[in-house]
Amino acid sequence: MNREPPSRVELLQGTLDLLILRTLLAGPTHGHAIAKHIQQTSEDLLQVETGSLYPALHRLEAKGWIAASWKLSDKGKRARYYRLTHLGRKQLASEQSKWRAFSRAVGLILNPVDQEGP
Amino acid sequence: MKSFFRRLRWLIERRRKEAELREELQFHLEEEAEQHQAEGLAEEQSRWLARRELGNLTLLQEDTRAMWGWIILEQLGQDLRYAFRTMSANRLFTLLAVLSLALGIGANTAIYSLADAILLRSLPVSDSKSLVFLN
Repeated sequence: MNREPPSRVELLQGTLDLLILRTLLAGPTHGHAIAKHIQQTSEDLLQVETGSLYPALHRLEAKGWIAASWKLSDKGKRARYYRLTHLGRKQLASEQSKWRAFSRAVGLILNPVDQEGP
Repeated sequence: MKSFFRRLRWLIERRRKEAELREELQFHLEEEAEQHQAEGLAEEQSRWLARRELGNLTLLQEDTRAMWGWIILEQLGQDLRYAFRTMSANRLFTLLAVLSLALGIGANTAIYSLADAILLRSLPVSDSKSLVFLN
């Protein structure tokens, strides 16, 4: 049982929304599955705290980026399923490009292509 | 605009929304416990672990409710309820306070409406411009 992986990365402020939206791109799912998906896909490096997951989900719902409805889970229990709305798709696209630009910029500074001159 | 109406609906359906949040978190706990059980923990222990991992349930509910908007309205309601509770616990004080406010406001209104009628408004006579003060 690998309960505590040796190192975890703290989520950067504002990235949780992006990760949730991206996870929902694959199809509607409930909160618990979203947290598990983020954890597993990031090879256990990212762990979403329940204390920030549910406020984030309800905030995204209030903004109209995701919509929720009650459905039966695969085990037959009632669960609140979230799905991406049209507005959410647009938001995801813009946040994704922002994130790519940001990580490229940081990458350029950390690994300069040209050696600095004498 | 759409999101405003959504939040307005959430405000009206507040009770149902809170029950839903409880059910949603309950489902999360059950899923988490089931997962621990699948990993080989005893039923009691996995439920306990799931609950412990979730942390402060009341805080989580509060943080989530805060996302529905209307925090200001909610706190105003709390303050009003607190005010009425305090006042009904202290009847005599409330009575005196209300009475002195009523007298104060009433007396001021009376004086000022008198001053307004006599000094500020033109008197109800024809050609009031030609009236003069005589001392």
